Amino acid sequence: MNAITLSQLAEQISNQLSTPQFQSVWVKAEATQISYKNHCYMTLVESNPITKETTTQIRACLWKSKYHTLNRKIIQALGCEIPNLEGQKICVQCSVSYTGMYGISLIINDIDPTAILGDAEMKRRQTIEKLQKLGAMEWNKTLVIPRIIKNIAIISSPTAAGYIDFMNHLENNAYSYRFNASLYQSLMQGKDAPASIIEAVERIENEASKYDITVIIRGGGSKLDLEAFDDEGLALRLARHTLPLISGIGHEIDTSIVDMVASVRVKTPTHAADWIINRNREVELQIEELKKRLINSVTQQLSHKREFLTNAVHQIKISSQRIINQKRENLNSAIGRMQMGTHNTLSRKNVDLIGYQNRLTSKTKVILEREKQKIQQIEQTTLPISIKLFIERQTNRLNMISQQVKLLDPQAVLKRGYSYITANDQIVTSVKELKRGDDVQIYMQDGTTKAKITDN
Amino acid sequence: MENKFESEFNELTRIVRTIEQDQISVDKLAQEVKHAYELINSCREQLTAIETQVNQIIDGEAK
Repeated sequence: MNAITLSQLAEQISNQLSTPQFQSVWVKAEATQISYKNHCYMTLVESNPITKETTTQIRACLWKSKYHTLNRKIIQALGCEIPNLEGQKICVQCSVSYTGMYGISLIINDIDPTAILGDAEMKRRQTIEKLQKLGAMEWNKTLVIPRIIKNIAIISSPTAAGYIDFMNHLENNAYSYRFNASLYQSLMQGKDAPASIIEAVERIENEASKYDITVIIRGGGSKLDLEAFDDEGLALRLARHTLPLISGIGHEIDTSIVDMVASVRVKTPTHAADWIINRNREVELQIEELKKRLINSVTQQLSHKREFLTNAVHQIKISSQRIINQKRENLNSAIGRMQMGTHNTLSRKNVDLIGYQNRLTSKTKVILEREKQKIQQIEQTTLPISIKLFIERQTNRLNMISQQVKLLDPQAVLKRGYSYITANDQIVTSVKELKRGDDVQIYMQDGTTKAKITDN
Repeated sequence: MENKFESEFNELTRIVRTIEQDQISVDKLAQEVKHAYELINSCREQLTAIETQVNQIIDGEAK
């Protein structure tokens, strides 16, 4: 028996592997268990596409000398570092190495970043096609975004730089707008991100009435991290979201499917905040404009009304003066009519009176004339006879009385020898009326004489 | 107070018409004329007062 040592066998295996066939070979596999300390180690894995069970795995390593060059290449192409390729299907150029101590391992010489995206890109295109057929791209866009945005539901990770940028930008806006922003925490990268985001959407959906919009934001990350946002289930769920969705998941160049279903897509969280602020600002400007127009219109109207009022004042002045003048005229006319009426009434009465007076006068004249005639008649006929008789009778009586008077005449008595005396022009009828020394007059038929009383 | 002027003026018109149509007794003439002049004076005062008031209002508004 011609046996060789274990190390000799290992050397032979190693020699077999040193052929060009094994020294520069491109291998597709899933990168797992990536670790990077001094050198970079990982396990390349192939799984059953249905059962997901690992069917093949080979350790691989990337020496420090190559690591930096390749890492730069990956960063440039994918925006992430090699350790972030965990779980990704990668395509590496490697040489197969075998040592007796560690067995087979692959020494990575190169990585093809385009191949990494290949699978994801295929899947992505299929998803887009499916969503377009469903019309899901338009669902969220048909929702009406409120004119003024105030209440915002945010899907993000509290520690993400993008979330902090968004909040800073939102809260320190130039117009002092205030927002009610609530964060619905979610994983924003990795395999579990879609499920976590869907869960956050469900929580928002339960309180949808509290919000105007939903914003999904993520800090700048690698291109690979965007894969979560191409997830079909997540894209469908977001398309069906009842609030308008604003996506700012942070990539300058590429558009994720979530971006496509969203109502509004912006590049970064900062842009999302700007978009919200600018939208509110636009409304504010519109309001300002309307306000200006309103003020102009009101001012104009007021000016018209004022002019109208000035005219009205003038009209009122004229009209009221006319009314007052008219009334005054009416009053004066009434006074005139009354004076005339009064005068007429009095005149008529006066005329009546004059009439009566005239009638009375003429009547009286007639009566008087008649009476006069009666008197004349009496005078001419009855009266003369009566008077004659009367005169005769009276003459007779007079004669008789004259005879009697003649008899009573003191002269006649004196002729018969009687005399009378007076003292102090008083006829003395008694001696008792006289005393001694009185002067008396003695009346006789042919004259008077004086005497003095000596007796008595 | 409402329509004071009009009611007084109507009363005045009634008196004037009565006098014009000679439907008044002379006994009452002086009394009615006196009443009429009271109404006339009242109406005049009211017109003057209203005129002043109107002018004050208009001038006040104009300022």
